[in-house]
Amino acid sequence: MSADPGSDERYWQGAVRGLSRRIHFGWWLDHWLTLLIPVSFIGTAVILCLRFWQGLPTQTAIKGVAACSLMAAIAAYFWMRRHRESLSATRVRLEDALGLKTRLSAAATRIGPWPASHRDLILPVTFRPNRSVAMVTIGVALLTTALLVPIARKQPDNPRVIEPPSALQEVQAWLDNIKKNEAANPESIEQVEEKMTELLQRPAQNWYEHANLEAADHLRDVTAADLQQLSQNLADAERAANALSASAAGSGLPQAAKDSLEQALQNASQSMQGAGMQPGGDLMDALKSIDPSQLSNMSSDQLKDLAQQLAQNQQSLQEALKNSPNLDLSNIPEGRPGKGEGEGEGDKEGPGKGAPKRGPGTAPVTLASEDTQLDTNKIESLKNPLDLSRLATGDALSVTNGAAKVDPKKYTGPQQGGTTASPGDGGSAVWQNALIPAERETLKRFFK
Amino acid sequence: MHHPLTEIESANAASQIDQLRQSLRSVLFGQDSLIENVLTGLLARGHILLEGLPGLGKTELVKGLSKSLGLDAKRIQFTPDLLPGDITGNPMLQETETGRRFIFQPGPLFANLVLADEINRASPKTQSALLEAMQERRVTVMGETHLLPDPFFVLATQNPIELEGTYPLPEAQLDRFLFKLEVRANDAATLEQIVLHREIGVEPQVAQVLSRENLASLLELVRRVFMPVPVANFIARLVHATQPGQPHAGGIHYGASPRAALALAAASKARALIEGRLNASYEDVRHAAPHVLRHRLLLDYRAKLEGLTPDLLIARLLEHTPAQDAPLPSSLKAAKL
Repeated sequence: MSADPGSDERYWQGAVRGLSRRIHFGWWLDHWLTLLIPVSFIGTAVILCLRFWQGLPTQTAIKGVAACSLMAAIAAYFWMRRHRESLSATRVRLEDALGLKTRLSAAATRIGPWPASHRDLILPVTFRPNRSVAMVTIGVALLTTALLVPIARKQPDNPRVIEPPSALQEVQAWLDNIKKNEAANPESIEQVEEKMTELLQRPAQNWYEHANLEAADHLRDVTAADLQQLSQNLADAERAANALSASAAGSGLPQAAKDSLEQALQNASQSMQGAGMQPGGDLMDALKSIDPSQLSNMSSDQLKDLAQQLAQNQQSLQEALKNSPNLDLSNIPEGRPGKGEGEGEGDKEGPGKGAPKRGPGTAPVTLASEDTQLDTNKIESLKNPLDLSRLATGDALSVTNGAAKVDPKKYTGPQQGGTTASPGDGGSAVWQNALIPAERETLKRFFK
Repeated sequence: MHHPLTEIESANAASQIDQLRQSLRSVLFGQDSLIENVLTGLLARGHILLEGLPGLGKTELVKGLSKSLGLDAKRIQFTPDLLPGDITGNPMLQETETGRRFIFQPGPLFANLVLADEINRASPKTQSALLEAMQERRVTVMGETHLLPDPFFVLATQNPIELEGTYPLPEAQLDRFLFKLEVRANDAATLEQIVLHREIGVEPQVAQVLSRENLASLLELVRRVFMPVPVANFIARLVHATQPGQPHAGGIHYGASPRAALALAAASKARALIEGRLNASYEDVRHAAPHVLRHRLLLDYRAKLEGLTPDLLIARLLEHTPAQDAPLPSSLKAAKL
């Protein structure tokens, strides 16, 4: 015992606290290692996923791993508290291991003095490094692998865009330009757009099916035809209106020509009012307001004004569709007098309806006294001779009526003596060996 | 509540006990362990069952003990025809001044030290009378109760090899003995000492080293030995571990009783005083456990077939019952110091 009784007590109390700390650290280490392996596995998976999906930087991953380890350490601390060992219990461990014969417990209850301090006290509990090192190594290896393994970041998915069929795109471009230039009636445009929408509402993967492509092409063709017809009608009406205006101003057209022009203007007007693509703006209202019977009474200014509106709409339409290679309206002839043969009876040159190469005027019709004989009433007979080179299996070469020839006397039934004269009944032997007893004995001996 | 021992008291007690030990060593050669255990049982106020072959010095031990302590000692040789009255005493018709009357004549039980030789040869009735006197420390004959002298110790012997005509003690009566000690045969060196220092028919001279009062004082000091809570907990867990169904109690049919726990505590205290300590310790418990428990454990047939003995089972229980019950974390291991 040392000179200072209190020093022995402090020494042993300190030793007990040291042992207690070591035991509690052991419990904490146990729980931390228990958490470390699952945390490592989960962390590995998370890091790999984040690196793959979001290109997680290594620095951030290391910080995350450190944070997870810290959280596991804190969780292990609270878990460790369930195994908290009192100092008196730890004192028992110490005194039992050191063979102190319970003197520490007795001294702690003020029974007897504290034992003398040990010079080199060895705590009776040591660490098992193998398990701890192995588990930490596994965890670190997993996380390091997750951090260092080369892995490419996933490329962002480009959404698959299916372009509408070119025919619909073309129509849409036409409509956009027409709307922009106000070259057609908005209601007519909406009708076409509704049809386009109906086609586009079908599943995109079906847009390029044969039927849908045909529908799109048809819509484009119909729209093109409507636009061409509108352009043609505008041109016709504008020419007629200009001619009538000039006539009203005193140019002195024959009455027949005036009637023809009025008829042409009226036809063009009616055609535009009933067409799929109608002219836009006030032109449509102006055309509707024209009374066909009062067409001849219109003044030169009125007709001129009408011609200007028609020309303006025509120009707007051509301006809108000037960049559409598949819909060239520039070839539509201007309102110039043609040189072709007119449908009137006069022999003077004058305006008329006709193809560009042919010029104005109706196409000549050839009349004959006899109709064309196409022999459509003649009935032709078809021969079907047997072609042996094209016969297929099962083709009948010929059909013959008659009965099978059966000789009922041919079959005489089974016969004796091994004769083969008759094939016998079904299932019966057609060949029989007849052996004498000596031969039979010889065979038996042979096969024994 | 007893006042705890002081260091001076424990040192004086240890010195006196050491004198007694030395005195007994001069009588009984080569049986230091037996002497130690007998002294422990004596100081724990317990009765002791000695098991061993004849001629190993059991009677000499009792005689030496009585002489060293100045106590009255008697020896009873148990036989099948021994009656309870033969050991407890009988009322005898005697002439007195007032006339004839029955006067109780004390039997051999009325002594401080009683050597009950070959106790298993007596009939159960006689055994029962002896064991009742051991427990109650008094004898009742014909309605009259007679206190046995204080101190009262019984050292019973039984021969383990001659089972013919014996009446084995039932477990309930075995429980009355604090210790069951095995008297082992002497080795050659011890026998040589016996041959040199002993002679047949000559009683060894033993001086009295302690008085009856000294013994009573020692017995009182034993009670004042401090029993730390962890040691009491250790005793409780050890005794509880002997119960069938406990993890390491395989082979035990009946376990130790609470009386065994008390006996273990008393023996631990006595041993602490013998060593001059103020408190009982785990080492005391571990040392006393085999002697306290071996006659209190009843083994099942399986343990007997496997050749297990109570001592083996007790050793196993001690191995699996640490002083501190709380387990260590798996990352730590107990160092061997």
